[in-house]
Amino acid sequence: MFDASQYATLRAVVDRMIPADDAPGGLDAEVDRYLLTLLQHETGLIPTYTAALTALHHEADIRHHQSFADLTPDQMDAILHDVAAGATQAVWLTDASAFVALLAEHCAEGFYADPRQGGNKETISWRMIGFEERR
Amino acid sequence: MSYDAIVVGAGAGGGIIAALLAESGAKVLLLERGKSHTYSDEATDHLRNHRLSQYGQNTGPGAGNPRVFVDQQGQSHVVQPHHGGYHNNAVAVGGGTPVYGGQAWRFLPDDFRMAARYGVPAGSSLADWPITYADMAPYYQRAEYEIGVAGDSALSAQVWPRAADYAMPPVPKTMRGQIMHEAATRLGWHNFTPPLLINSVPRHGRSACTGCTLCVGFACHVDAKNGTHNTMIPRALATGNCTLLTEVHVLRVNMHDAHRAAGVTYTDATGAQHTVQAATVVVSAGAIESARLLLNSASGDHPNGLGNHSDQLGRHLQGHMYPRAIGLLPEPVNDLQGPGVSVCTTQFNHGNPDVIGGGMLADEFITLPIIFWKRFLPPEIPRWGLAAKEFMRYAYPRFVDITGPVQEIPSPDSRVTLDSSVRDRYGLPVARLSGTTHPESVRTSAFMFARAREWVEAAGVTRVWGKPPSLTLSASQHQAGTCRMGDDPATSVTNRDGQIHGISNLYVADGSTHVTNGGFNPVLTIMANAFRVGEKMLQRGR
Repeated sequence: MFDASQYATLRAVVDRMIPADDAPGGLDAEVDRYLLTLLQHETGLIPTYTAALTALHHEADIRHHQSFADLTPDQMDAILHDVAAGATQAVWLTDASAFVALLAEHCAEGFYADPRQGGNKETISWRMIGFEERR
Repeated sequence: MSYDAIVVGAGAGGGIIAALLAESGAKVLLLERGKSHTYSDEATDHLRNHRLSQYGQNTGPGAGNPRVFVDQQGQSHVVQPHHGGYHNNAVAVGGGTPVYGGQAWRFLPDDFRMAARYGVPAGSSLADWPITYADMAPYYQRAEYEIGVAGDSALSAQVWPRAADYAMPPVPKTMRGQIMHEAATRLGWHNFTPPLLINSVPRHGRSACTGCTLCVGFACHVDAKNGTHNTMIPRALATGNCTLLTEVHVLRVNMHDAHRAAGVTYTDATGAQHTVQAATVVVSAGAIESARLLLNSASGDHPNGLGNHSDQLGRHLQGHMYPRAIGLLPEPVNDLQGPGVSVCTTQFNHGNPDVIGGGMLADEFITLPIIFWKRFLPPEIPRWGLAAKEFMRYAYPRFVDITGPVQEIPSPDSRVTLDSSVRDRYGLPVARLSGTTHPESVRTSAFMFARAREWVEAAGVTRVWGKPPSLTLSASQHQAGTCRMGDDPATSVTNRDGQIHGISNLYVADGSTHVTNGGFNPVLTIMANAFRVGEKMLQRGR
C-alpha cells in the first residue's frame, strides 16, 4: 500500500499525533498497524493517504532538505500545524488541512478503540485512562 | 400459502403482535429482514456498533439498502446504514431491542395531549393523541411485566400513578450516579434510578445483568437485556402457530379490493419472490420503513400509497434532540459499573416557562473511550499532540454528563417520501428523508440544555461544556410519527386502534403511529401500544 518512505512518514506522524511521555504513545499502541488495517477495509481512503504522505515528505524536503521521518519532533509538529492551517509549500493532491483532522481521528480510533481493530495493543490506552472491558 | 396474520418486522412492535395473535391460536407469519443475533456472533467492535457506527454496525441492514437524505441546504445525499443521514435503527430479530440501552419510560399524561396543553405553534403539526394515558396505562404495565423492567417503584410512583410495582428492583447506582443524585437533590429536583428493560435479578430463566462495560449498542453477553427477541418472539414460536422467516424483505402489501389487504409479496435471501395471503396484515417495520412499504404498495385504488388519501403518510417524521452538558469533577469517579445510567429527573418534562414541553434528563450509559474522544471533547481541546492525550488521560476518569431526549414539536415537512432515482437491491425506490423538526423544538432543547448544565454545575465540577442542539432531522433509533393515528381520516393514517383508515384488515404497530413522541425514549410506548393494538385485533376477531 505504501512505499518505504511513505511508511516511515506514517510512523512519524503517528508518533506526533499521539506522542509518548510517561504514558504510552501511538506507536506503543501500534496505531500504525491499525491504520493499515483500516485502509484495507476502507480502500477509498488509500489515495488520500498516499497523496498526503508524499506531500508531507515534500514539505520536509522543501523546508529542511530532509525526509519527514528524519526531522526533529518540533520540526514535524511545525509542519503539521502549518499543514493543518493550510499553509502548505508542497503540492497537495488532497485537502491538506482536512487530512490532518482525518489523521488525528483515525489515530484516536487506533489508540482508544478496542484492540481487535489492530491498535490499542494490550489495551495500553485504556489502562492509561482507567477503562476496561469488564464482563 | 395462507395465514391468519402476516406481521412485517419482528421488532419492538411486531414481536408483541405476533405473540398475542399466535397465543390466541392464529397462524402467524412473522417476516424479518434482519438475522437472529446471539451474543457469540455479535460483534463487540467499538467502531461498528449501534452506539458508534463509524464504518458499519453490528446488525443489518446489509449492502444494497441505501437511502437518500436531503440536508438543510436542500442537497440530496445517497447514504448507507452507518452514515448519520440514514437515520438507522437496528435491523435484527427484535429490531433495536437486542442492542438498545432499554430505558423503559412511560409517557406522561400530558404527552398524549400536547396541543390541548400548549396550543399549536404556526407551521407545526402538533396534535393530541386520540387516546389518553389512562388508555395506555394497563398496557404499559403489561410491557413492564411481560418484557421485564427493573425500576424504582416508590420514587417513580410520584411521577406516574402506578397500579403495580416494577417487575424488578432498580439497577445499582454508579459512583457518578450517586454524585449526580446528591446534586439534583441539592437543587430540589425529584430524581430516581431510571427504569430499564434489563434484568437486575435473574428472571424467567435468564440471568441478571453483570454490570459489564459494553451495554448500549451491543447485544448482552449474558442475555440479561430484555427485548422482544428473548421474550415475546420466543413466546410466539413456542405456540407452534408462528413461523418466523429471517433475511426476507417485504416488497409490497397486496390488496384484495379497495378496502381489504390480501397479503404480501416478499423476497427470500436467494432473491426468489413469494406471494402469501393472510386475513390480516400488520406493518411494523419502524417509522421510516413502514411508511416506505405503504408508499411502495400503491395500487389503482390507492395511487399515492396505502393509507395516504389525505397526504399524511410519511409526514411528521420525528425522533429526539439530545442536549448534553459535560463537566469535570476534581477526583476520578469512573467506577466502570454498567449499565451506567443510574439517575434521572422528570422535573422538566412539562410546565417550563415560555417553551413547549421539555424532556427527561439522565446520566449516561458507560461511554466507550473512542466515543468520548469523538463526541465529548470540548471544542478548544486540540485533537492531536500531547495536549490531546493529556486531556483524555485527565478527563475520562473525571467526567460527568447529563443528557436526555427533548420532546419534538412535529412538522408536516419532516417526512419520508420515495426517491425517484435511487433503488434498493430489489429494484424498489428507497426512502428519501427530508425536512426537519419544527423550530420550537430547538427552543425547548436550549431550555433543557440549560437545565443539564445547571445539574452538572451543581455537582461541583471544575469546568463544564456542551452546546444546545441546532435544527436538524432526528429520526434514527427513536423514529416515529409517519403513520399518525387519529380519529379523523383527513389528518391521520390509522385510527386509534392502529387500523389504516378505510382498509379493514391492515394495521400499523410501531413508532409510526405516535402522534408525538414524548420527552422520553419511546420503546416502552411502542411496546405498550403493540399490546393495546394486538388486544383490539383479538377483540375484533383479528
